[in-house]
Amino acid sequence: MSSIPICLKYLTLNNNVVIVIVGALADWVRSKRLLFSFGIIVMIASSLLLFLGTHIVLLVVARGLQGFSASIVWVSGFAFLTSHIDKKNIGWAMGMSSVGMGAGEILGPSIGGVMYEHVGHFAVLGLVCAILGVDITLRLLLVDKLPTDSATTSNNEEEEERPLLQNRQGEQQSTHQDHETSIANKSQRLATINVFSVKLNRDLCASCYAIAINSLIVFSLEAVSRPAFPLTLKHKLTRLDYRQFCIATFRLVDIC
Amino acid sequence: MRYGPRWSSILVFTIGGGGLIGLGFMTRSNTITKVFFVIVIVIIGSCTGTITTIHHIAFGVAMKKEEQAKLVDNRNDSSTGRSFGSLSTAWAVGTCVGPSCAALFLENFNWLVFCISLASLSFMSAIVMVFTWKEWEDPSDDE
Repeated sequence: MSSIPICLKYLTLNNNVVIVIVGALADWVRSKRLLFSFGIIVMIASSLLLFLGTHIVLLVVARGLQGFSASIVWVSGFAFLTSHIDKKNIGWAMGMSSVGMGAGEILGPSIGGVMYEHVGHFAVLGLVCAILGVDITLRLLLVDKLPTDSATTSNNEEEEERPLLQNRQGEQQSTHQDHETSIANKSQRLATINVFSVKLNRDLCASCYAIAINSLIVFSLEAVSRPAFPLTLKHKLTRLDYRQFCIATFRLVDIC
Repeated sequence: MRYGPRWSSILVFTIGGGGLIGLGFMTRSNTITKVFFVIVIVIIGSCTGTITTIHHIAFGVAMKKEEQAKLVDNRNDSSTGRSFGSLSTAWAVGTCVGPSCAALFLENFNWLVFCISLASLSFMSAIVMVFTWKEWEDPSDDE
């Protein structure tokens, strides 16, 4: 039982280290679908290793690989979403991905726990493999939009719309656009901060800070839900473990 | 998405901080406290979920704008993956630091001090958000 926290900690640490590498890889690889699909293949392999492994070393390696694959899927998934969804609908798409994540966190332990108790260890493996199989099929059916194709298409469209003869009104418009571009560039320069002589976007750093604080609050409350909740709900809830009730309540409202 | 993440983040962090302070005072085992406990947990959970979604959306819109600007300039040095990697790293840092901080506070102090410390983090984040995301364009205005 003492090895379980070690496995979880190893998963988290591995996740932290790999995310940075995966982010750079997502920019370097032209096809985001390829990286996306690679992540799910690694997830299938790590799940099989986790279910079929019997030695503690295998379990730790499997959890590390799960962290690695989760990092790939999460980062490349967002990069894929950003490159394929237009600006008008990206808020809706991001929101739906958050809903999916939250729903998975609620349904996964519930369904997995019931299946493990009533059907057995390998039934859960079968369910996991079935879900991952459907997932990888859907990802292989995705139409990938490569960066050079997008650039060529947008340049061709701009060429078609540009007037052949530029009159005085066109000159005034181009002057106005140059002025707007210079204002945008100036505001962009002002919105950067220097960290160890590296220029970072202030707003994006603020979002990272907000996410880090949010995550700290969520996981610190989850960590203390078993030993430190002072309420004596467990005396009333005879069938259901009060810790699970608290966690389930917390997670249920997190997806709302 | 219409108004940007600034004011909604400030509001949500402030409400979440208030909820965390309220959670610190719920130490009795009567029915009223249990009902308020559930209500406060609902509030805190809603706030944390809202913050995550708001900033993921803001990040996505900002990355999309940057990507389109680079396409116009005919540049192929996209940094979307690295940026989302940094956002995911921020989340992962919280998963590591959160439980450690919780253990530290609960071993050396009590439940109320723990909740107040989390609330102060939340209020501090609300203050930080005042100075960020000042410029925001509604993405649906590009039609």
